[in-house]
Amino acid sequence: MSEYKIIKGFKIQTVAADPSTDLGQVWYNSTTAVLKYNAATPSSAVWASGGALNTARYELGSAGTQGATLAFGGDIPGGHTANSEEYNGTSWAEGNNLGTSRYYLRGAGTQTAGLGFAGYIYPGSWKNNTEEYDGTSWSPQNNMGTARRSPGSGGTQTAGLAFGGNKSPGGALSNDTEEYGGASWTAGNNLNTARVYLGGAGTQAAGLAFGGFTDANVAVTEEYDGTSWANSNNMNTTRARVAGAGIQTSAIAFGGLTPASPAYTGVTEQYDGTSWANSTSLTTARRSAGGAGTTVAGIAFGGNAPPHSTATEEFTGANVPLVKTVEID
Amino acid sequence: MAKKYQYLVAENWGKGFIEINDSIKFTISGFPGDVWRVPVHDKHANLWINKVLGVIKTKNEAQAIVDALVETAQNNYDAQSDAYKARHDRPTDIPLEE
Repeated sequence: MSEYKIIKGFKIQTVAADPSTDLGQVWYNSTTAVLKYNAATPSSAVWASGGALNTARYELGSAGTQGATLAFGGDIPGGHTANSEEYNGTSWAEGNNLGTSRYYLRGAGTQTAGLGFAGYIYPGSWKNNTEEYDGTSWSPQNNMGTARRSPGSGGTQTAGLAFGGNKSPGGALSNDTEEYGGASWTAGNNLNTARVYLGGAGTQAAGLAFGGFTDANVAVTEEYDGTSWANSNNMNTTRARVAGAGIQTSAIAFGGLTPASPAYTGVTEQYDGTSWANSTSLTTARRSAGGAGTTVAGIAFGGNAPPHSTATEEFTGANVPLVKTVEID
Repeated sequence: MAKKYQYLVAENWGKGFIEINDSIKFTISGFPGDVWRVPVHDKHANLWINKVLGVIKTKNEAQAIVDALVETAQNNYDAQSDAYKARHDRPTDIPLEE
């Protein structure tokens, strides 16, 4: 301790919560009783590996944050699954299963208040099932107005948002928007571009739709204001089966399928409420992954690389301090 | 043409396999079959290879590992019904760079 004072000219601070720090700064967190330091502040965003899913899957439902994530349902080798898993920032643990096994479903909310909706079961069964997760188990709720698969999603368990996808008959493209109020779904105004396999982020009152597939992959971006959709600037990389995280004014899009070869992409882009800028790519290119979190702390999991993937990657935004704990043996 | 990358095989054990500090210092790209690509002649990349107990592969060896998995996925796709194919994309080849 005296050495640190000699070097820095002051004692190590004792604080109740981690402070905003400069590179190299050391402090003692009295709440968690650990000595910490700012090991790096990367100027660019980075992806790092996280714990592997127990069940490899893609086209799954997702919700939550980087440190408390929820993965459920999806496409597994040979079919679909009702399996649900929780991530604690380090590893995935099994949770109770969905009531209705399916793939091509979507999610919203948090790990302790999650929402799963839509989906598909081969052959020809588009799903309008809605289920709520309370941190322990799933319970069925009122169905969506339009059964569909692979829509975009956003919001929370009590204020959810679903948009686009495809539907019966024959997988017709959908531009339908629906808002979930915690008990039932109501119709909103349509997307401008009907499409499936699109990415979603944001809230029910400030949603974001990006990418997707019409009769080809598209880069289209639309913003929802709680009433209607307005076109915004396109993504830089045209793609479908893209995952996302964040809010309407600060979102990330990652992975997907591009028209170019190789078709699997790891490209990550960040949206600032107006336009997209390229960020640091996923380590492993993949499509149809789960996504959750924010542009400060995001997470990607599962997907198809190929084959079905268990890989988790954690996103740390640019200029976010890397805080480490001093380990004393 | 000077070689830009080196390839290795290493099992991704999850948290800690690729740390933020690794990603800050050099670019790691992952491919099917636990194949990884990092810059050649890079001190930090070489230290990471040691950390993850990576086994160095030539580009052709790495490509063969990736191709085998992609081919399996393509064969599985080709054996499916037309209805399945209408809903899924055929897995595409993943060419590795020198």
